[in-house]
Amino acid sequence: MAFQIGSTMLDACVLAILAQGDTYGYRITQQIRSVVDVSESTLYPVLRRLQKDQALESYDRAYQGRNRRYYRLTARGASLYADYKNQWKDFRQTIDQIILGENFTKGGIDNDQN
Amino acid sequence: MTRTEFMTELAIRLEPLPENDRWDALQFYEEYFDDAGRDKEQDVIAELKSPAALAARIIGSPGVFPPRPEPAVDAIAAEPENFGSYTQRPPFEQAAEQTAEQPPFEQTYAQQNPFEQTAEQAKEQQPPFEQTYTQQNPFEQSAEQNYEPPRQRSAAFWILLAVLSPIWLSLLLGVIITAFTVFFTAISILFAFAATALALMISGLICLPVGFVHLFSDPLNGVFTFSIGLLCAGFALMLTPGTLWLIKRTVPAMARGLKKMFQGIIRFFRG
Repeated sequence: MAFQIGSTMLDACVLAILAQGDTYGYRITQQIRSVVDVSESTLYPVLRRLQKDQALESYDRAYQGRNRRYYRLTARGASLYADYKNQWKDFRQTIDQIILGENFTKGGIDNDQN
Repeated sequence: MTRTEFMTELAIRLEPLPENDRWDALQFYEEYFDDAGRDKEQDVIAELKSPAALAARIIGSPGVFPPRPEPAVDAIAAEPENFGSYTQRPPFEQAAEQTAEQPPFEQTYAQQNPFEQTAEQAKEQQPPFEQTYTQQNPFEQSAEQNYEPPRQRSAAFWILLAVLSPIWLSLLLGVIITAFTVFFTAISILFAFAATALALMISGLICLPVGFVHLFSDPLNGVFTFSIGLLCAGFALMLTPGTLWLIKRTVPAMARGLKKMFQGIIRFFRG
């Protein structure tokens, strides 16, 4: 893939996944890796940082005789996700204009050539 | 490498972290291995590369753990960026900047790695597989405490001191008095030397001229007196420099010794 993902985008993805429902570390990693080629060692720092920023919180549940730590969005995390969604829509639209040539007027470029 | 070996080494490599953070990270990966399943164990290890690399990434991730103050030059930081697609700015940032609002997806994930131990250094310092790693979180303090904050004497210390005072107070007084006794004895001995030298000098100074004068009028007594004078003067000349030297060397040293003793006592109480 030619296009690369920044750390903020990764945050947005994690928040988006959790917005679908609480889940645990392995599941989050697998879902992210199904769409983006990141290393498995990347995800823990991201989760940890979001947790310290209080966008997420974690809780433990017993599963098959062992512990499993689940993550869920906080209120702050939910509003952060809503922000990211809006920003993404705008960003995507901008990129689409250039790459796909949609609604792209020559005037835009010419204005820049003063 | 097995999962247990991996996790044991990871536990060691994460020791620079505060205990809570270290435990949290280890628990995350224990669960990760559990959820992946035993058949995926080697895949996970391959993907995580090595305990050293993983520990470096965890410790070095920006804004997560407090960065270490030492500068970082090490093999791990020098590794080519390997986050998959997780690094560079999108190539269309120019076009994006033409719009009024700045899209937020341009940040780079800075790979400044303050984790200053290289894999090799850490391996040398600690044999990796000799410690056992249990899944219990003991919340225990790490064995290495290189930094010791200045000690204050606590209330408990003073109470204990007061309670035990019959013992240590009398001992302390005994030691102080003994030290002073030795000092005064030495002073007395030196004084005796000095007094003797002075007495001899005075005797010599008197006997020499008197004896000399009587050499001719009363030869026997005169010679006797003169010889006494010579003797006294000779001894005085021998004793005086030695005594002066002794005084100069010993008295300041003893005074310093006493001062140090008192300083030591004060420092013990101050902590």
